[in-house]
Amino acid sequence: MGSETRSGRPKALGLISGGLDSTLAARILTEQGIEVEGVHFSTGFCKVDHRRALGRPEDLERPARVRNEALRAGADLAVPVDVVDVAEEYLREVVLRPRHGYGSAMNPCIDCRIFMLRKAGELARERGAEIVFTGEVVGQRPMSQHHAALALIEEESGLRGSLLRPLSAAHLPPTEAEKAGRIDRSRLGAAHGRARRVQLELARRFGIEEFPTPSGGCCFLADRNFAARLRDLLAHREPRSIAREDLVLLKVGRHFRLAHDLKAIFGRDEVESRLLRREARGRSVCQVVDGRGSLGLVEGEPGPREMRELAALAVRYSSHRAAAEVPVRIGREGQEQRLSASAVREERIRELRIGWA
Amino acid sequence: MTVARVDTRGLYCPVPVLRTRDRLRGLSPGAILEVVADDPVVLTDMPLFCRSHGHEYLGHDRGPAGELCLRIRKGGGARGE
Repeated sequence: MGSETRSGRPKALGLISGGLDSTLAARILTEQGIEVEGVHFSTGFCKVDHRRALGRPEDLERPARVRNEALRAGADLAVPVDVVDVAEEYLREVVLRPRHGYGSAMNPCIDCRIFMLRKAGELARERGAEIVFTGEVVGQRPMSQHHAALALIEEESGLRGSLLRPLSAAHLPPTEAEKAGRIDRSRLGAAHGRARRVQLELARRFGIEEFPTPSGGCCFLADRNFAARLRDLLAHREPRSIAREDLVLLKVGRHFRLAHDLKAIFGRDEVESRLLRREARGRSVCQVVDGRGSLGLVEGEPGPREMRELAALAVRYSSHRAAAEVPVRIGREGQEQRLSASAVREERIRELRIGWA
Repeated sequence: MTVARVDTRGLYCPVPVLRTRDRLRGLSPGAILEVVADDPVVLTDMPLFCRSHGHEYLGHDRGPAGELCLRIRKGGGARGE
């Protein structure tokens, strides 16, 4: 990697999530006069991004619930943070083929770190940064941040000797830049484990008052319902055809598989139905005619029997679920057909529903 | 001065910010970029993006169909690259 910047200062590129740890890691380095840039990889599986996409009024009124924390951290630190969209590449290279396996659902935590660090390494080379850094803390996360995992991740991401974890550096072998004295190892951190005492102390010292609470569980891939829907999609669609927009739809509503090439998604409330309408883009939708029910987005071309089943689902998720012969509208905008149905039976729902805990 | 424009309607954040960054790369310092969007979250993300990258966020108004039109002045420093 390049070792000199135009300013003559060492330069480091960090994975910035906007959480306290990565923010502190960046601050520890800028305090030493190191030139810092950040990158945030957007995978399409972030729960906060989904909350942002739904745009519930109560969330939009509170910027802290919808803002992109990586950009917020970049703004507060006055370092440029780049957001990079890796959704489709990430799905194919990491989610579908994890070399180190999944966690509790479809979360490939170790492969995910390797992927992001390898990408960060490429970006660092392009930008003349000699160090890639993260906010990782030794022993903080059981799967991806114990000693052996950190070493494996460093090796497989091709960053041996150039990957710095400023918060925990005292517990890890020195990087080349530390050995050469371009980074002062004595001013790096010694945080360890799940207790956040060291981080909170550093936050006080740096005057960092505003940071999101550590949430964990912020990735849809660790959610079993979501994982079931993703597995279903992969069983019925060519992975290459799956785009970022398909991932948006996997996070919303109740999902039903009616045939290999036919699926329906019904919103669970008005906000979800609005998102489904927005995402319809030429696809069929179905809903009870008076609008007092969930909107269903139909992926595929239903035949007559499937139209009746879709209508029965629309009645089930409406205010008329106890009524018979409820009028339902199905089809693409401007080409809707009308038919009448009663609510689908509960046992049939269990057969059709995907990812129902 | 002609105003450059990027249309991000139909895209969810952070994608509108990524399109904005790409479009700004082709402009000179001081140039104005208008970003059209329909995801309201862009109003939270864009000022943060501008502060992070050294651009000036000039505010927004609504277009005839209710779409958001944000205006940005490209910064001159190295952070904007």
